Amino acid sequence: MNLLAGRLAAWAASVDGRLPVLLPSAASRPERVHEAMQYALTTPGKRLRPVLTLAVADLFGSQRPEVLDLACAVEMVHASSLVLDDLPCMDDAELRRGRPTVHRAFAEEVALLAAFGLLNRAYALVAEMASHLGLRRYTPADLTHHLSAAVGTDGLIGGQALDLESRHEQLDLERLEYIHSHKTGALFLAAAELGAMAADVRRRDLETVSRYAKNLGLAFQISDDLLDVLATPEETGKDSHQDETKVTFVKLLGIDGARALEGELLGFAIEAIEPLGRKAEALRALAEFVRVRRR
Amino acid sequence: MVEHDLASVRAELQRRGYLTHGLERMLLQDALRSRTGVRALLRLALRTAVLGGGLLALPVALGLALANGNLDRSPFDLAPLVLHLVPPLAVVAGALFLALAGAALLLARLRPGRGAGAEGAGDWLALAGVAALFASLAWQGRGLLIEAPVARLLLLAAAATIAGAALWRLWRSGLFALTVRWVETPLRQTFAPRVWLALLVAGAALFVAVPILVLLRPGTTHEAPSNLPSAPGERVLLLGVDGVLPEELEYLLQHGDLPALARLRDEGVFASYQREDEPLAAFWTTVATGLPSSAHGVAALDSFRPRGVRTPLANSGLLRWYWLHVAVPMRIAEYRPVLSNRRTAFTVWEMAARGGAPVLAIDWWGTYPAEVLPGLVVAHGGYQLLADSAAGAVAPESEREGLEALRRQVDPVAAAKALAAALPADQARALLAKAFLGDQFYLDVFAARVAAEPRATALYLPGLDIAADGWKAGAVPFADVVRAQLAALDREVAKALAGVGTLAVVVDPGRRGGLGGRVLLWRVSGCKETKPAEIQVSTIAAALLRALGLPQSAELAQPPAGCAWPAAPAQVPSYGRRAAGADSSARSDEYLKNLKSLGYL
Repeated sequence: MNLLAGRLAAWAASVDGRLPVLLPSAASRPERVHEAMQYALTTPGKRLRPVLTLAVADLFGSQRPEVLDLACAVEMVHASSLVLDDLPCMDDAELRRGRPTVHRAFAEEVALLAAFGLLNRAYALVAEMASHLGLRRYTPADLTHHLSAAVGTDGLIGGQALDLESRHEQLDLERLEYIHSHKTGALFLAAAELGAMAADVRRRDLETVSRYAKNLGLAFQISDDLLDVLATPEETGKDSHQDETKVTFVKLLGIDGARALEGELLGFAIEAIEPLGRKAEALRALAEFVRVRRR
Repeated sequence: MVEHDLASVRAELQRRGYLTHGLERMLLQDALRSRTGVRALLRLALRTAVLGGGLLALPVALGLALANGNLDRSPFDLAPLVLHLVPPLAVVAGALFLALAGAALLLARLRPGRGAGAEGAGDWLALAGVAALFASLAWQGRGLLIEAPVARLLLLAAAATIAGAALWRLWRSGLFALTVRWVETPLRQTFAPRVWLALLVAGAALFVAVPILVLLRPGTTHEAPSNLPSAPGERVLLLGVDGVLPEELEYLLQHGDLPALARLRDEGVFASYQREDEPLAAFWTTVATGLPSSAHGVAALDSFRPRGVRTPLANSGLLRWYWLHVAVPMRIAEYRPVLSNRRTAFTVWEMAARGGAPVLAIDWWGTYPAEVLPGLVVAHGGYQLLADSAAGAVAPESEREGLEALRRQVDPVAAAKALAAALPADQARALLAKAFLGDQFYLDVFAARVAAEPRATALYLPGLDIAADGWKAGAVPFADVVRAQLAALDREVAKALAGVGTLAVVVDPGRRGGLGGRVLLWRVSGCKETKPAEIQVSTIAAALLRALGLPQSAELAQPPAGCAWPAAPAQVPSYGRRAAGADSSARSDEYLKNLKSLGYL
């Protein structure tokens, strides 16, 4: 493991270590919901989004402990979206990160409540940490608004809604981009932008980070589509061929075309941060990770 | 089944903001790829130079077109002007960027590890650079633009604002990129292609709209009326003397050295005037036409006509150096000294000659090549031009032989004595030949021809102004030279007054300093009204034209107070505009050489 990979792994480990601390104890009421929250959140994962938050903040010179909690909030939102995504009324998935999905492990109603619990905790964390950071250029409301925009009907919810509507429908690039940019891309953007805001960067710097995250997010989704077709459940830790009824870039372009497009998007993401110099190596490594990931 | 090809998906994604870096990035980022910092700096400077030159060219071209009347006469000059201006302005933009880069790097080195500080400094440096550049351009053009209509100034301000904002963004991005490349601090760049696009669209719209708007505007055209109503009128005399300070003239009048002029002063109006800070050619043409330089078209001693531009540029500010030393040698611009066919307004003697009456014009600015009128016209610089046997020195050509004979006999005795007392013999001889042989020749022509009673006579004497240029023998000896020259003029005036109804003598300090001069207006019928202490230069020609019995032009001022002027026989909107003459560049070389030898260029 090279130094950079070690750094990414260290960030991921620090998120893993911090996440249980930020949740209510499973021993406290409502125990099942808390337990389900812990289960959803602490399941081993890539922690790509919180690592992105930490890497961006680090790039702009912020290593404050509050940033770690912000990163954890991003992961909570992601975990919540996965719980909801796996529900029988949505994807009806059985496996997630190599384990039974939350509604399978607990119950559908508990999964639903746990998802809302995670979301709620994420908002509270963002508001609290933003206040502690005492930023000059951004208010706590700015950060909270960024996160809520990524979750709302202009973000994850909007993407998921159209995804559900579009199943068994004809291929449509405009719709596909909408789904991916909202369902996946929005949280990538929010993760990167929260990291930048936590470092109190100028507003125009957000554009640099956004351009990177925008391309990275879509590339990640395409790689996800590719893995759904090419990887085994053992490798991905989730049900294979879940996307058979969905519109994907693989269906749109074929495997080779999707691979080529993924490569181009990652190339652009890396180019976008090229002028940032050596300090942006962690972001380059993240993009590289998306290129080679098998899960 | 694959339903889309990669190219179409890529295009659609680019439209949606993926796979694109934005315009600024595309323009500047490649410069960062160089392995060495110096090469990155040069690449950045080259790119900012080319782009900055393009950005600056539009407002500067607009300003030049505004200052030189191109917008009125040939609005489509704007396009070739922009193209002509890109190279020199690119050099300016590149050089300024290098200077700013030097300052930014210095700051970055002085404050190592403080990337944000270096970035902020880059912001401010770029802003200061743009502000300084535009302030300098505004300062250069202040005199040229002062008379421009407000609407056009607003247009120019809009173009300058767009270009300034774009240039600031360009320089700022370049400085950030450079700071990052050299000190490895984060690049704080802005990627807002929409703003860039809006700026480009606004600039292009302005570029296209200006000529069209100018062409479409309801304008008034001034055709020269073929017949002007006229009263009987009287003979007029206009004398111009350059290089005399007002206090010198007043002293000589007071102490009886100029008896004829002193008498005329007592009987007429003797007033001061303040003129614009403009070249002598422009001022003396205003005296002769009654119109400002923006209307009579002689705004400078010379002008340049870049290829593709129809109206020559007389006002170029600092760009004059570029036209003269780069564009003209490269033959992408033509050098044009001030010629009579560039003047668009009629002089007093040209108006007087309309009915066929003979006139006499000697050495007045803007009269080369001499154009045929009833009577005699000796072109500006005629003495030297005759010596060089240059075409256009005199009109009609049939007069050349007689004038050549007169030229050979010239003997300025008084000036020669004064010079001999002030300077070593060789210097005195040289200055005599340069400055006073010509003056004496013009006085001799005046004396010989004024007896034929031309309806209007104009005589310009530049000798003192030429002599003062580089004079090192002190003020007192020069005062003697002034006394000798003015005394010679005084004697000729005394002889020429017979039959003259109105006389105007304009005495200007020329290049000796100051913008204030003296004017003496005399009417045979006397000036008994309350006499003004100061008059406007433009009223001198108005007075002479009124005395000639010509109608009052709405473009001209009324004659000055102090004398009783005859009533104008009619009012006309304009005397019309002189048609632009044929291209006389082929025969302007002698004239150019002449102007140079007299120290005007």
